[in-house]
Amino acid sequence: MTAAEALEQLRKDGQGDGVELFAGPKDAALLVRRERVKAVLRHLRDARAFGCDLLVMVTGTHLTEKKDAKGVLVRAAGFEVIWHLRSVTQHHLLAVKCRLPIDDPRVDSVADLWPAADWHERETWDLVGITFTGHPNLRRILLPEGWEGHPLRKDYVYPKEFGGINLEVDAPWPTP
Amino acid sequence: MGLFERSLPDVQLFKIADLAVNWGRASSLWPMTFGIACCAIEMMAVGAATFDMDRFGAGAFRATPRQADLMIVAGTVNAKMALIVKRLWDQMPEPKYVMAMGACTVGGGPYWKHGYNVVKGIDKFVPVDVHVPGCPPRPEAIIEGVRFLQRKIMAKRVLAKGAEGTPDFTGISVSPGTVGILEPTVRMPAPPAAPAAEGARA
Repeated sequence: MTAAEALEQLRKDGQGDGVELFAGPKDAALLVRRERVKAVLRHLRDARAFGCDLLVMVTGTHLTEKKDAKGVLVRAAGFEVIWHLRSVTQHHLLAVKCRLPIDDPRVDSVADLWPAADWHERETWDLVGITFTGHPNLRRILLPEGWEGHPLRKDYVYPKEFGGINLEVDAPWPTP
Repeated sequence: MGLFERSLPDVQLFKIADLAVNWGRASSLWPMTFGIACCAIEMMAVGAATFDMDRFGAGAFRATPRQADLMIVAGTVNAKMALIVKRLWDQMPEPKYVMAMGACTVGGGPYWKHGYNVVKGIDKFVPVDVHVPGCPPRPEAIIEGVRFLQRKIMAKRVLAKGAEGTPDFTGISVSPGTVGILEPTVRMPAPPAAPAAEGARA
């Protein structure tokens, strides 16, 4: 099932509100409005036509502002959350995306739909800083407690020390 | 700097005693069973039969820092792990030594520039005796690092007064003048001779 077929099926089921097709450079995906994310993902899991019983991955990206050659804004700065869903019985993979504003990166948690989402959402919060509302235990999973900032953001500033351990480099790399 | 420098007179006997103490320490280095990343696989290979670090008295890997003399830090140390490495180092009894194994522990390695949480060399928080570069180092390199450390230990002063001796780091073999006990027991096989030129055969 391609993303276009999935969108068609969603509209047939009456769940097409706030969902559009995202034509990526490689694979198409479903771009869902933030308020509709949880309802759409629940439908993708429960509806017989989709049957996405496996959540492969949750991840996030920090998107910077993008302008074309004439200086016209193509994409505003923001965040993007991506869910990869797979149906084990029907053998298809669906990608669902959601764009979030730069000053308010919040989206509903799906940890109660797929238990696998629990740690993935913690990792996404840890590294990208996207808040998943309704998550049972949203705290750092990879970086130690007390770490400041979210390292996979583009404007991240590297720390100089942590817990008394110096993290700086001694000398710059010699230029050849 | 001797351990009992103020209480003991300076006699030749203590220099001989130092020799015995240092020989004991250098010949029974017990490393700690402690691997962080991929370098640990090479460290395991050194302990196994093919390379057999026990030939040099450094093969008794202890599962606790309380019984270990040598901490081989094998793998990438990030900020979260550095606190644990520091704690393990603090738990080891004196005398204790550290080998920084691999590029990551020597200076950050491939995470030198973009590793936001990688410590750029473990000498930022523990005193390193031997640096063994490589990514990961060959088992022979680890053995050479252990041999270097043993020569360093042999030059220490424990009871005798005076400055510490200069360890002889020239080449892979210890010069005969120092201590005969640390003569190399294994030599690498010589490379095969280059085939003779065609003209020379005829």
